[in-house]
Amino acid sequence: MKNWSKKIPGVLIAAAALILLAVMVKILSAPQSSPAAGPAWVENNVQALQATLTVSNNPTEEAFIQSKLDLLKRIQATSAGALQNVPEKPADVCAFRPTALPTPQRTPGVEQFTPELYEDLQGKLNSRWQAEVNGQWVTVLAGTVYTDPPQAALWVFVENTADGGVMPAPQAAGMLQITSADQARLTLRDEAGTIFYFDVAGRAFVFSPDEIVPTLAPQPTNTPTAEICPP
Amino acid sequence: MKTSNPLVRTAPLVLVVIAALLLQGQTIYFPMIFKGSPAPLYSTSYYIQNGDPAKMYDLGCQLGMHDASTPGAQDSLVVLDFGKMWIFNNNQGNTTIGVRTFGDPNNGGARQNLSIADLEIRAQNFASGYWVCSANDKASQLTLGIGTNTFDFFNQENYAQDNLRAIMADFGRNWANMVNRLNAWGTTTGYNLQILFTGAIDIEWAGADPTDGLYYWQSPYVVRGWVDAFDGSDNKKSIFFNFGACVGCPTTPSLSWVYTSALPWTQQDIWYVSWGSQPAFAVPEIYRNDGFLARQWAAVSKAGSLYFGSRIIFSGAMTQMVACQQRGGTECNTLDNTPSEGWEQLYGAVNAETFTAQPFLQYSTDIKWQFK
Repeated sequence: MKNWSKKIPGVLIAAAALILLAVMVKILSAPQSSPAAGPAWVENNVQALQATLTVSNNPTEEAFIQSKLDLLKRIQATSAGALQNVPEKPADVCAFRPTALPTPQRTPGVEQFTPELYEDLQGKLNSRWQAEVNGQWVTVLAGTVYTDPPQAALWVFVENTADGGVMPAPQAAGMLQITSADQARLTLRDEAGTIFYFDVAGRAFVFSPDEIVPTLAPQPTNTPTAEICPP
Repeated sequence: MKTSNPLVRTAPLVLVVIAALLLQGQTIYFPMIFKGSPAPLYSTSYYIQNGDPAKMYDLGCQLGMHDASTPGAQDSLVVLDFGKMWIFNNNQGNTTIGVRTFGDPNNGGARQNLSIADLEIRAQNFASGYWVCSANDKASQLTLGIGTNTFDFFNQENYAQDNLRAIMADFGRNWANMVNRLNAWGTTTGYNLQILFTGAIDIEWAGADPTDGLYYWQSPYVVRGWVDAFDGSDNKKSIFFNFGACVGCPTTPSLSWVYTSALPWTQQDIWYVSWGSQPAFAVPEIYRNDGFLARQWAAVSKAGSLYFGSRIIFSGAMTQMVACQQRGGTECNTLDNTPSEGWEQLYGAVNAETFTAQPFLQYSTDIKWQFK
């Protein structure tokens, strides 16, 4: 009896080893468990919804979330078809880059246009002036900025610099319009018909066409970013 | 004293464990722990000011290079906000629907009119750039939202609600068809291994224009036209993200709250266009430093949970930190959350109570101007 009991550990270890071997063979011989069909973005979305399903205890909500899950899984299934034939990526990062469109020709001077809301500038604009000033390309747009209350205003952009911004003209009424320009001295008219002047180089409203204001020093141009695909 | 060999004592347990492993399937589910998750790395979304195809490619390429050089697989949402929906005459003089981009500061503030076909090509350009430049990184994922907004009257002069809704519906149909075509293209090219195309729309509202008294942001009746048409045309294969703001919304659920009589947005409308409609998902603007906007959206989600059938499961949060750095302005004094602040505010607000809890908030994206 004593001898037999001494053999038990060896028998058990052998049995365990055999079972372990069988498990390993089964795992290794099984086909690779395929990842969820379709790209991983769907899987992440699915996870987000499923995670919420686990904390929901409202059957109506669960059915609703399930319908969203079904939509995502449809997308997943649809996109799964092509995954076997993914082409190799080209080594040249510029290989697929389309040709750039020609740079639009910029015409210096004043241009009127139909008043339009510029949601990004939070105002309504009706005219522009653009030209080179002290070696930098400057654009001035005119109209009304939607402060409270709205104010006549100009917007100044200096290409490739941090310079510029909106310049309200509290002395003017309604929309401001650029009517003409003499060099970098703009003539403006508000809706009441009053004439104003703006000196672009000095960034200042002035009271007469020949009033002298100091010219501001040009701000440095932005550091150019490296071109991915140099022309 | 009777003793037994330790191996003898533990052997049955070993056998039970091995048998259990044999009997169960190969999949072992571990509990997912989300509580206190850190904010994900943020992606950059863009206000598009110049839709030149080469520039779109370069933007996608930049992101691809970034993802390839960042350890691990990235999972980014990028919204390309192409501006307002617009109807215009193309070069051949034919009436065309599309968008009007934001003003290009490098070109006198000029705006481009891009047709739906143009948008489709631009999205492909961005995707190609991402796919090529992510190089050996074939695991990172990009969800690319082709974006617009609900601002202005589409270059039309008939402001009747039925007319505007019909126009919106036309845009919604075309948007869904475009997204479907893009995803079919992604399947054909194999890009969909890494890239999903979606719609995206900045749904907002505001007061009357002080110069003419018109309301330039659209009503729920009109915007639902876009949403329903998208839903009706997407063949149940595409989604869109609402990346708008909940302007003036309360921070508690309310069935009586209405924005204004002219733009009668309710929490139910907001819920519907952000989640209630089948293809709708939400990545709301969480700009404000004090977390108020997150609480507004959590309230919409709670209203959904209490009254409309389901909480909103937000896909992520959008911030405008870099746009504020680019342009400044007084509004940025209080509306310049960092991406992690925006994400954490929304995550915290929805997980503050069980009605709106969601353990996983996937995306964080920060929007900037393409140039300035």
